[in-house]
Amino acid sequence: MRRWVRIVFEVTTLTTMVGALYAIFLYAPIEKTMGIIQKIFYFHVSSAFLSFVAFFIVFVASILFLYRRDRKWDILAQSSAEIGVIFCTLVLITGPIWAKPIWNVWWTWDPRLTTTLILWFIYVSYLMLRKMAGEGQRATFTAVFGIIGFINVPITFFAIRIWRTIHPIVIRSSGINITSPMLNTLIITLVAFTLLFFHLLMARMRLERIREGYEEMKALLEEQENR
Amino acid sequence: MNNAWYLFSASTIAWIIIFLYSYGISKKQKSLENQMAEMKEALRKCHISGSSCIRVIWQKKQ
Repeated sequence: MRRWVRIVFEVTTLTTMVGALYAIFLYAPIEKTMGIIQKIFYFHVSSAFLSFVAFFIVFVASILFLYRRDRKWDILAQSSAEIGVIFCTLVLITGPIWAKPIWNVWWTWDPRLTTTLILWFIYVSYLMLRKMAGEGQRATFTAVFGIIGFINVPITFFAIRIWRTIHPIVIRSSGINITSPMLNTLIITLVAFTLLFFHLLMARMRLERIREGYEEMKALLEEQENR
Repeated sequence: MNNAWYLFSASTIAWIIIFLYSYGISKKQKSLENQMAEMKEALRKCHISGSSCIRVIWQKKQ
């Protein structure tokens, strides 16, 4: 990507994120029942949404890698998995912090919470497999793992509809269960976090390409030495 | 504990994690780019003066 395009994108991401923080802390009203703690909702839902997006990208990129055997899909899958784990970690941190004053517990083995934790373990295992697998097999093994691991994403999303749960249901078939200013704030935050996600994804992929270039150059240097 | 402190801690932890990850990527990238620049310099010098100097120049850099 051209440098100026990248700079414009980064400035846009930063501006949108500042706008989202303004909306969360100053524009969005304070919820009547839960009070100010409810504002964690915007971080929590955005992180959850982006973690699902990230794992979906891993799923698609893994299929494309197995089909085309092009390294760029493997790089995309790896980068997206890392960032997905970061956002899933944020979900698992902001959720309990919100839960403690509302439910009076940090954690409960509720279906949504449990399936999200399982999702986190699956993709942490994906990253561990990448570190441990041999050079020739790494991409193939992790691609298969990334495809199978995605099964838990719809299970996590629909857990609050499949099983009885104390986790709030905001998005229903009848519509979204929040007031207009809160909905606007949620949309702004989702846009800001999405831009942040793509910024991190591009940075991570760039790092991987630079690392490949470094390994090639090192190999060339060693080849020159041996002559 | 005041609920505002829960909100403050959640948002602070979220931003710290995002910042640390972003900083980590940036640092690794700079480190690799510096090492590549040094290798390019080593290759350039050896093309000028002869191939036997590569090991000496690269080991000095390490």
